[in-house]
Amino acid sequence: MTADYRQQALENPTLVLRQLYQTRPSGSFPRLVAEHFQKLFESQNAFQRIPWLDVNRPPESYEDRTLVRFRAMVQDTSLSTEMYLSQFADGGCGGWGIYETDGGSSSSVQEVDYANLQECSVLWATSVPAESAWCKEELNGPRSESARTPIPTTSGQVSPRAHKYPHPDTNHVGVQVKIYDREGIDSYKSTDVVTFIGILSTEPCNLDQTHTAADVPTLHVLFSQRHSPTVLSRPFPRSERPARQERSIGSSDEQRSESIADDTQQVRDELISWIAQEALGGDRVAAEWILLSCISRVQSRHPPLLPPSLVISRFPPPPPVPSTTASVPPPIPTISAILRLLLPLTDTLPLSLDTLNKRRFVPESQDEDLHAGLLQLPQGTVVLITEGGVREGQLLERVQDIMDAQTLAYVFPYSQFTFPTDISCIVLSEGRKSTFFRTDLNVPLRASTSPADVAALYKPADEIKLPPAEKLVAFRDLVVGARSGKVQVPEPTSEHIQLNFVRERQGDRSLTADDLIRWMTVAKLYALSLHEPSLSIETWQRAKAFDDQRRAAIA
Amino acid sequence: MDVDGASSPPLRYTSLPPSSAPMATQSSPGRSQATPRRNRQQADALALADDEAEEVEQNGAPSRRRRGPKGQINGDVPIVKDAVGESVQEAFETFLRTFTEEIDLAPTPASDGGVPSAPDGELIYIEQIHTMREYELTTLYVDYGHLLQKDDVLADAIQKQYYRFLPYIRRAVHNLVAEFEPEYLKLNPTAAATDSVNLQSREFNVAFYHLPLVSGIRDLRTDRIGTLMSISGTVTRTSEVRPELLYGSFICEVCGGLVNDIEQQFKYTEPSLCPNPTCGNRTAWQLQIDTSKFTDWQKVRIQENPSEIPTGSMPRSLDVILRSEMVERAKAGDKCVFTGTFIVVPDVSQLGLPGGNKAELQREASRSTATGAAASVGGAGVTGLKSLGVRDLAYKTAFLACMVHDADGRAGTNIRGEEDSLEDDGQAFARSLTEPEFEELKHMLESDHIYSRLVESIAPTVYGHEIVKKGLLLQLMGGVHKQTPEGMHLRGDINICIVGDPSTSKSQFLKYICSFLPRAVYTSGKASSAAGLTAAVVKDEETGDFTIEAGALMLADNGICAIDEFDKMDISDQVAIHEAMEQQTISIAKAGIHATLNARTSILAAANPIGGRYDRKKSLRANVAMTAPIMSRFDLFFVVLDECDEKSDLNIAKHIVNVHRFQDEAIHPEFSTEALQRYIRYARTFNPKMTPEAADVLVEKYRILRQDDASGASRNSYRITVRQLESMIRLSEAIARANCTAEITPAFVREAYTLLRQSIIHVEQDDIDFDEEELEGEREGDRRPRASSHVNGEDSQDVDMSGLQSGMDTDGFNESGAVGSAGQNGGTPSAALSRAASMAPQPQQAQEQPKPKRRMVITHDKYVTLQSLIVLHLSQVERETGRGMDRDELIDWYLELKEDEIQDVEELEYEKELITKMLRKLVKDNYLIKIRGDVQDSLPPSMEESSGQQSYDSQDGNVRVFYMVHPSVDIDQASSSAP
Repeated sequence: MTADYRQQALENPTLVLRQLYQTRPSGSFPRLVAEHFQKLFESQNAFQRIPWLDVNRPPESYEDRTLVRFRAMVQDTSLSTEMYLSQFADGGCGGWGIYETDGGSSSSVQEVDYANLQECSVLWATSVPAESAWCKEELNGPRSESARTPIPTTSGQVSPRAHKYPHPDTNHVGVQVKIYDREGIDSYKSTDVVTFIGILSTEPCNLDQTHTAADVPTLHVLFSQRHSPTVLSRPFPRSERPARQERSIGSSDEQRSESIADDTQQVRDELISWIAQEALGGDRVAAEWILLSCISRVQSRHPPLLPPSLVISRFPPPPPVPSTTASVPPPIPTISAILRLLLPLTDTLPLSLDTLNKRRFVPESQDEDLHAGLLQLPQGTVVLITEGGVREGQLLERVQDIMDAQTLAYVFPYSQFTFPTDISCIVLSEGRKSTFFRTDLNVPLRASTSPADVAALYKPADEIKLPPAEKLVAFRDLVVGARSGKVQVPEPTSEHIQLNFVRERQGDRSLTADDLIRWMTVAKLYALSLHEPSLSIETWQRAKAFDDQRRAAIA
Repeated sequence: MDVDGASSPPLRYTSLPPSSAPMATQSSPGRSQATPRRNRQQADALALADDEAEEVEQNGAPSRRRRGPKGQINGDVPIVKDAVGESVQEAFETFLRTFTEEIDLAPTPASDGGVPSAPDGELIYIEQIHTMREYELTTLYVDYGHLLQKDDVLADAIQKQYYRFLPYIRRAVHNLVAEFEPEYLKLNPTAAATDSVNLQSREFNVAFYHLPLVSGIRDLRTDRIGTLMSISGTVTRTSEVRPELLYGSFICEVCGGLVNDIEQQFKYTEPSLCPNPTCGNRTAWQLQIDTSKFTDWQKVRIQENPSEIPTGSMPRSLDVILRSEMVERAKAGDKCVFTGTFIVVPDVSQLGLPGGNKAELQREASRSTATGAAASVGGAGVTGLKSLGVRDLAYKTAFLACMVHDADGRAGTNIRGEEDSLEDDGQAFARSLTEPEFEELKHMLESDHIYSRLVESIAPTVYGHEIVKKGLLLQLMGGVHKQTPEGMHLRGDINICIVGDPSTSKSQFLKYICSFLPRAVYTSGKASSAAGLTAAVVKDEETGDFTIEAGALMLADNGICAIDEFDKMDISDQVAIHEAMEQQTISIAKAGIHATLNARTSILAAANPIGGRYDRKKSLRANVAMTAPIMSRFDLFFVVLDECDEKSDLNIAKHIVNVHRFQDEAIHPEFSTEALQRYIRYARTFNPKMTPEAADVLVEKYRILRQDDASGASRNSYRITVRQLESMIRLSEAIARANCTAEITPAFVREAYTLLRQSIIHVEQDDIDFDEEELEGEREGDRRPRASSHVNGEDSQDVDMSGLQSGMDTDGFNESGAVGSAGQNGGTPSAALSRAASMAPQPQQAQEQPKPKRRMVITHDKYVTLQSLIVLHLSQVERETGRGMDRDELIDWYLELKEDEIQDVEELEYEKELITKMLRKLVKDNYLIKIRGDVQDSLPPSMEESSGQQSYDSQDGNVRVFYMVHPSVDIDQASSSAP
């Protein structure tokens, strides 16, 4: 396991594979390959030296049979499995795109030993949609020292299989992935975010059965790594930044945790102010709700503890665009850029007649080729939806399904199949409530409606006043950490909540169990946003007051 | 090999299995090495035009060939293999020759094959051979069940190594045809006689069906290659039917020699070498179409059935190859079962080119590969080219089917009756389980009170509402689908409607069902147009044809369609699903398309009451915006109300908080979802039948329901019709299934009746059981089934309301009935049922013949009649005399009234007791006042007196008792409801 060997694996993975095959013990060879390479690149440092595939480094920029890593969203798992020869007549290793090369073998195809045929699974994977730039950077690691300069791709270039990416007209990488280790193969689900490490080559596409198969980049997987729904990991509850640690080194644990709590409170306040200032015309309440919404996720499916959907109502329409520039798409609210700065995975879905008519929202299988839809997004994505003047229809039902049940029905011939999603929705709406969606939460924006202020809501991303770098890091830590956190409800608090509910219901008969469910959800999110691992009575009361305040505002 | 050639007719059926793939998995010791197909083709090429000669040649050639390149020690290996195949052929022939429907036949026939043991029954396969000739068929259909029954060794051999034995099986059929219908053997016997060149023999196929286990596409693994199996799937695409070259005749372009019968399999194959020793031509061939043999060929693409896909996975697809008479049997969208074998074929792209014009390309390809230039060739031929050895892409799996049938037609075509198939299904399912799963299922089957425990595990996230859960369980179980002799289908699916206040977890039930059942569709009535629910005719964008687009009900075929906000549907849409709910079909007549489509789905609907809240002052019908025809199509209605009461609030709060605290651990149903799913799948393999006693009970129960309806005293949501009888049967069947028995006992019928009643009772009154009234205090749990099923006070409230409406104040009774019931439901079915059993067969009406231990039960109608009779009489007496009436006097008056109906002393006693109890109840219900001693002396405050009455009552002895009409009773109203 020397550095040399590692270097060799980087430079000529095929050779390493062949060698490994010759020395293989009994048992599943694909399994062995996965374990071997996984061990080889166990350390973060070694792992980061593997070159990666992305839009700037498309498959074409690599030589055939290079070892690469590709952080991808599994897009289509419906491809048929494939048979390959695991051993050639000469005893050589088959699979992973290794073929017999000697010319003499061509006539001996009949001599194939069918007992050596093995199955491999084929998936289609694309670059992760909705991934923010900072997240990408962090995961890709430092720019690799290799001299290869990224080939600038023309922005107009669209991959031949663009329909398999949710945003077909944007740049992305789509790769056919072949997995030889069949163990746990069924665990690859659509929209999973996985880093595949393997050998890149070009092979005919498996999807095409009717036409002549075009060659597509193909990744022969050696091993893979899965990502959590947050993609990045951040501690929860918040620990101190290393820089501060020195200062508080002498203090007792209690003091420290207290200071952390204070600090969290402060960071939280600053974050809310920043969001409010930059994107919401100073409405801190709305900003706080957006923060809560950002950290919500599916906690459990049975019983259903789903993220609440939020609508920011009374969100003013964008200032009228001069008619000369009519072709310019309507501006996107600045909050979209803010979310992009804060969250690893976020997407904006501007609803307009145009998108509704022309875009596919739901993945649809046509001729056994699963075409991606706008809503085929990785788990843990926060979607910002802006409503335009559009009518109700089929497509919006799908978004509603996501809000209500966190499921998305893919369209297959003669049937629909429901896949679980984990997508938090934030809707921006002009009206008193969302025109199209039934949301769990409704927060009216209270901001000035003067034209200048409204324009500020739609200012471009580069006009955002960024906080100092470490502050931004702290913000991200807070949000991402909270997303991955879990809140316990201790016994006294639950007692309190129960009694509270019964008492309130005595007074107000219109309260229902749904209200309690909402309070619970909000309170838990509130505690998460404070990085409190357990829900205190105090936080519960604050959260409830916070929700009551919201209800009063829409009443 | 020599044996082979000698013993069988001189036919090319002796050729080896035409595919190489299955050989790889053969485990027989003689077959250590796969026999790739090409070997044989080369052999074919060497074969002479003469049939006989070729036969010998062909049998000899492969082994020789194989020995060559592989350097394998061959020895007597082929003979060993041959012997097995030969004996399979013999055994199969004997089976076909001797099989009759009688089960008690001679055991596995000895190898003296030729002599049939002449059984008495009809030789169905010999019959079939005669029929084949009559209808010009070439396929012999063999029920695998027969095979199993007759000769399980043979069945096993065929199942395990189907592909290996296929040629022998076909040869067996050929032999039989030769024996019984010799003229049918040749395509054109008369022409053949004159012109031996045109002598074309027929190809016969064997189609196996009714394999015990049907696998899913996902289960296909390499170890299944070559075995006989059934898979099910939905057809998504079909190719056109094309001719496939089976045996090609080629003319050598160099020397002009004719090479016959080059066997083709999966790709176009030319002779590799001209048989003419002096020629040496390898490439220049011309296909002779007129002497080559073709068969129909079709490729269909199938997709996994939705029910077989694990959650979150995408459906898999597979190519299925159909030949000769099997083509065009499967249409896109059909759910079919294919029987055949899983094979590996060299290259799928060549599947699309069955023979014919690609010879040139192929040749090009092989040339270029031979020169090692493969990689440089691009364009259309690339994949085919690559398959020739440079790349290993070229192996694809496919399914070679010998039989296709509709997935649902299985039971219909089963000639062995339902009992057998049920046994099979259940056992087949049990076999598909893993050991721990099976243990768990067994444990569940053996445990007590499984029914109520299952109910508790349904929708565990929802607090309370046991009665609804019971309904859902039965819906999941479903009744038995039946078919009348005329071919009418009777639905077995149970439709349920939940009506209730907002936020009373109606939607949660719906969502639960959708997450529980793979084939469930959740839809909202509000957003669904009629087309969205049923089906629409749409114009295909590409072809411009009109096609049918499936709606939610069709998508949920054989599943459950959960429709939220059912009441929000337009009336016209509601009408559109009338047909779907009862006939389980959807008829379309639009744009020139006339079609009836299956929608065999159970409907689980949720509806909000009119005005948002359930108005207890109104009947169910008045509360729901639904037409009577739709309402009658629901088997069960449940009303869930939002009750404000501290205790239940606390329970709900506790439940919700716990769910948030512990998630999964908060709710620990006894059975996991998976266990429940397995249990239900197993339970659904039962097809329960009525026992005669149960049938009697059923008839009686229906009569009661119907009579209540006819009397008009109760205000039902809808008329009781045969639909409700069918509902009751379905529910009984579902209950029997839940108990995993194939017999419907009277107890199940009673439970079904109870459930059905509750669904109608919201407007209906209960029988008055006087015995029960009295015993109530002592044994609360042991109550009449009807009352005991009121889980939550809500239902009983509902009853009260309808009671009020019909003008009778029976609140006291109903309420007391409901109070003790909470939580008793489900837990005490046996108790409830046993009582029901004792009362059911007996007449409910006084005038019917008495039995020694007659229970004091009268119908509510009779109660009402008696009540007004007594009240009217009393008030009349009161008006006349100004005082109450003595108890004995009153009883005497009643008995006199009934005099002509009473036939013997026993009946007299009964009537006497009845009126006594009746009076007691009337007092309790505040219709009458009971006064001890002289009326003038003590006119007690009525409420106190009457509430404490019962205790006095039991001890009262000699004191004279007077009755008066309770001042609160409005006599006019009471009389109005009297008959």
